[in-house]
Amino acid sequence: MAKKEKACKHCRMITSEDTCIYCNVNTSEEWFGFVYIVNPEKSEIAQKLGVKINGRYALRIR
Amino acid sequence: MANIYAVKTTVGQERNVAEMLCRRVEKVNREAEELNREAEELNHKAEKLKLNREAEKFNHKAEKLKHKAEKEKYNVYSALVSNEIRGYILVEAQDKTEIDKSLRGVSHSRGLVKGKIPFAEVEKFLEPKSIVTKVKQGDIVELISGPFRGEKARVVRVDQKKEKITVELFEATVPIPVTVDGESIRVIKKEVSEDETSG
Ligand SMILES: [Zn+2]
Repeated sequence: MAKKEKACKHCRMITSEDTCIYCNVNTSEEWFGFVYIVNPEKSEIAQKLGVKINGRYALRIR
Repeated sequence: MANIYAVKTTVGQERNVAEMLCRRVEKVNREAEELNREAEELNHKAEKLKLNREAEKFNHKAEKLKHKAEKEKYNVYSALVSNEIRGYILVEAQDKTEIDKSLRGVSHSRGLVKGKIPFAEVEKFLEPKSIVTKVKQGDIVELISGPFRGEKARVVRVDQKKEKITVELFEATVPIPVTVDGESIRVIKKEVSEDETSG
């Protein structure tokens, strides 16, 4: 079975880890909304969210 | 400048469509990158050559590769899924054509919706608020997860801080208040006038 998806409480990146590999911050299983950033330089959404690395992000984390 | 469009999907498949679309874009763009790298190698080779004729040939080939890479890559930048919009995702790209190109063959996608979405509209989805902020006492909701999933209920209390909602189930013979998580409900009817709610 697939590992539960979590999101970093700081950078919002979705991961299966308990700690974010980028921020070293705890991740949470309770997250909502989803955005896949392919091109952080050109994406206005990425800029607004402060995302600099391409990948999958949560929009709200509890 | 990025442009954002809505793409219709099968309800419940929003996330899958966004993932498939973006993975496809990444794959195609990686291949285009590869062509660009090849082109650069050719340019490099040409630089080292003393013979102008040979160098020109390499540079020409490099030019062709770069052109091909540019033509093949998908200028799609992101895809967004919000719980607030069922059956649609938002896709950000250079233009409409790029989205159409990259959507080809993505299952459960039902095509692009005409009309660009202004960024101000999109911003609302970037800072989603808990559903609890929109629920009021008296609203009729459907429980979408937990042991009472699928049941309808009336909201009797809202705890904004804890993001909890207390409801009374319609099906219960004795209306016992049940407290559920704020994310486990969907509002189906806002509180209406007295005569409609009573009786
Ligand atoms: Zn992080």
